[in-house]
Amino acid sequence: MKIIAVYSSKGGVGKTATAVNLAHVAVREGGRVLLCDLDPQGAASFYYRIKPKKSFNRSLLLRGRFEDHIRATDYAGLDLLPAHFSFRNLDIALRDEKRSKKRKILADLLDPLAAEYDYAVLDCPPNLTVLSEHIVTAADRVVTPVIPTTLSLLALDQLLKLLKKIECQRGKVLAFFSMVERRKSMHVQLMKTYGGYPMFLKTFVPFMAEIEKMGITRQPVGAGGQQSVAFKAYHLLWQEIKQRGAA
Amino acid sequence: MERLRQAVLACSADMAPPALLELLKGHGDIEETRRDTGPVVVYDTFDWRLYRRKTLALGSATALNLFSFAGEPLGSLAAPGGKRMFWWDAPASAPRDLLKEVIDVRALLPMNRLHREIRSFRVLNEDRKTVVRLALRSDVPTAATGADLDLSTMVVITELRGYQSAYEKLVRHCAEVGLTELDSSRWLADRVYARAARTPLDYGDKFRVDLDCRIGATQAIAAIGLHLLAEMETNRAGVYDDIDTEFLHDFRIAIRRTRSMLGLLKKQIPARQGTHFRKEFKWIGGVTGPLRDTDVYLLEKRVYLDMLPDGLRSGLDGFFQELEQRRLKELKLVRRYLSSRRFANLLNDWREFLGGEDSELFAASLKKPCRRLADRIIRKRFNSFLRGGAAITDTSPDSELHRLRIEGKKLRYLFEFFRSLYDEKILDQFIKQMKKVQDNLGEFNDLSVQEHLLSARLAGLSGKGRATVRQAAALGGLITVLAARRRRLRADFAALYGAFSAAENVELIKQLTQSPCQQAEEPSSA
Repeated sequence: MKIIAVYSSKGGVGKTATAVNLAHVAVREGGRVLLCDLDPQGAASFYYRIKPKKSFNRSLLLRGRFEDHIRATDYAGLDLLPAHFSFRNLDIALRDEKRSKKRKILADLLDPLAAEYDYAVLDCPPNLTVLSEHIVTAADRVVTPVIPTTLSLLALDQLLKLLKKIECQRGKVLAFFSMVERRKSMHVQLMKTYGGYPMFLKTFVPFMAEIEKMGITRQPVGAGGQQSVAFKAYHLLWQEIKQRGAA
Repeated sequence: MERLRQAVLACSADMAPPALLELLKGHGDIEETRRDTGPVVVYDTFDWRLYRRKTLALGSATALNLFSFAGEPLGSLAAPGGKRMFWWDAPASAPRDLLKEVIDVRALLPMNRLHREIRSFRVLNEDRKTVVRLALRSDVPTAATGADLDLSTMVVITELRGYQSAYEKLVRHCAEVGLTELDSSRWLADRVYARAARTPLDYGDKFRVDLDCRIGATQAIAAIGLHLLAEMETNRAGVYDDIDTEFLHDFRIAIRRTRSMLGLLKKQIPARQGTHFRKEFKWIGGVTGPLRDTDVYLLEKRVYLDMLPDGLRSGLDGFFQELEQRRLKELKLVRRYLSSRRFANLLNDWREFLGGEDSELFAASLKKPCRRLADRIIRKRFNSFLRGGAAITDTSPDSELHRLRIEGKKLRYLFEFFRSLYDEKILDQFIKQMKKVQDNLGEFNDLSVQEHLLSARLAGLSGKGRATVRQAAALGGLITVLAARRRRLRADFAALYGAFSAAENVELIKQLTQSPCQQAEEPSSA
């Protein structure tokens, strides 16, 4: 099982839309996918219309007793571990865990599911904490959406610093431009400046109303079977991620 | 993680899908997601290789889908269409690998035809999230006459992870409205073979004729002979239509067993008829041999190519092209022999001899019980095998090993003919020991035959062109590899035979022939 973390310390860059749609694309290709909603806001769970069971919480997750809380989505092959409100303090709980030193708790938790799924896609909360360290350690690839703006690039820089600090391979980072508006000259300029770096994927995802409307439709783009523009963008993005060692 | 459950329920004959849906609507919001309708062809090999592996192959207009008996999908392949399909007709994929492993060189043939309708539904919660899936399914076997036979509608309920209670509630509800739950481990197999023209597993199991110990030797000969005759007749059409190579293989094995029986039980059969049938079965065995030989080489094509380095492989192109052409000629000849008056007479006379009321077979004076006869011949053949094996040294000619192989084969056939009379546990234990030596001898013989043919081919090459040189190099390479393998087998023989001829196996034969007759005891203990 490959672990693909969709991560950025900055909020509003399109992490959840990316995780939700990449998971859906992977399943449409025949993969078996577990989407883990680690963000206490639970947006990925909301998009898939899944609520956690009442008995679920952070400590159950950390004790590895979360299999019973995985729920099927409406799409065959795609399961989801829903977010819980208690996940808001996941980083504090991780820091207090004795086994936290090696930053392998998340990897160890997902390991028993390796035979069940081809991919675990992690929708990560926007922060830069102990949880982030565990996420990037566990992930085979860290997919990070970058809006072509200064602050978003700053978040990428912080991610690279984090990797350096915890001695993780920089090569596992795959950045792509997200919510691109080509009419904005700054977007065009920054993409030109940074797009050539090897860590940047060639595919970018434009800003699209269709993606925003996922909040209303509560389903991934293209779920209706239509080959939408947004679906095609995520499809291309997934192909490139796979080519870069995630398959 | 826990396996997801699936419940399969049958509606009563008077419950039509609309009425059923009305009943289920009381359960929650149900939405139809898909409707699949169309003809379905159920495929398997002639000898049920998929069925034995609890696998089903269902062909629709666009694909060949593999399922477990419980309906779990095992993969899908592009449908090739046509009356038969081999694994190599499918595009490279995991399902093709599965087919390759299971069906090997056999063709998939249509075993049953159905008209299927599947209506898929999802049950939604208050967020309009799917919490359980269900399908209404009707399969109507299309009989050969064209008349449709109806089977009642079924409901298949599938659990979704994390929504156990919704599943349990729906299954309960279905039971309450009068649906009956079926064996969920094999419901699809039962469904697709309901009212099929052939019954699954009606061919291809281990050779076995159930004999009663108290019958005379001639009755045993009749039972075994008729069983083998039925196998010849079963496979004859497949050989003629050239469906796959195994029809001829099985046809020839039935002939070889018949010839062996005629030889081994020679004294129990009237001499004149015995000589006649031995001659005639030798004839049909002989005339079908060259076709089988070309089949073997063509089936081994991939193995041969893998034996050679890349540079020499193209040298075999001409060799295999000629084999293909020769095969067509041989097939034509075999078809002629199978349609001949001589062959028809052989089968009719043989049937009459084995089963006719006034057959001379039953007029023979020897009425010895078949078990006593079997004991004697088995002991005799075993001793003969041991003598032959002990006489082989490192310097013995290859022909001695071939002779020993034949001796072993005869013994093996005896075990097959009279299997039902013996303690099968002891018998299988002995056969397991013997198999190691037989495999060595069998492979040794195959390699000798192949070397011989390739050498003859090499000697017959003429011309000076590049193609001839390439073919000569490739054939030379193959002969070298085969000869090296054959020498290794020869070197292994002494150790294998030494282990087989140990006192334990001699004791096993003693135990076997002294064990009580299996069927004679049954009536007295009943």
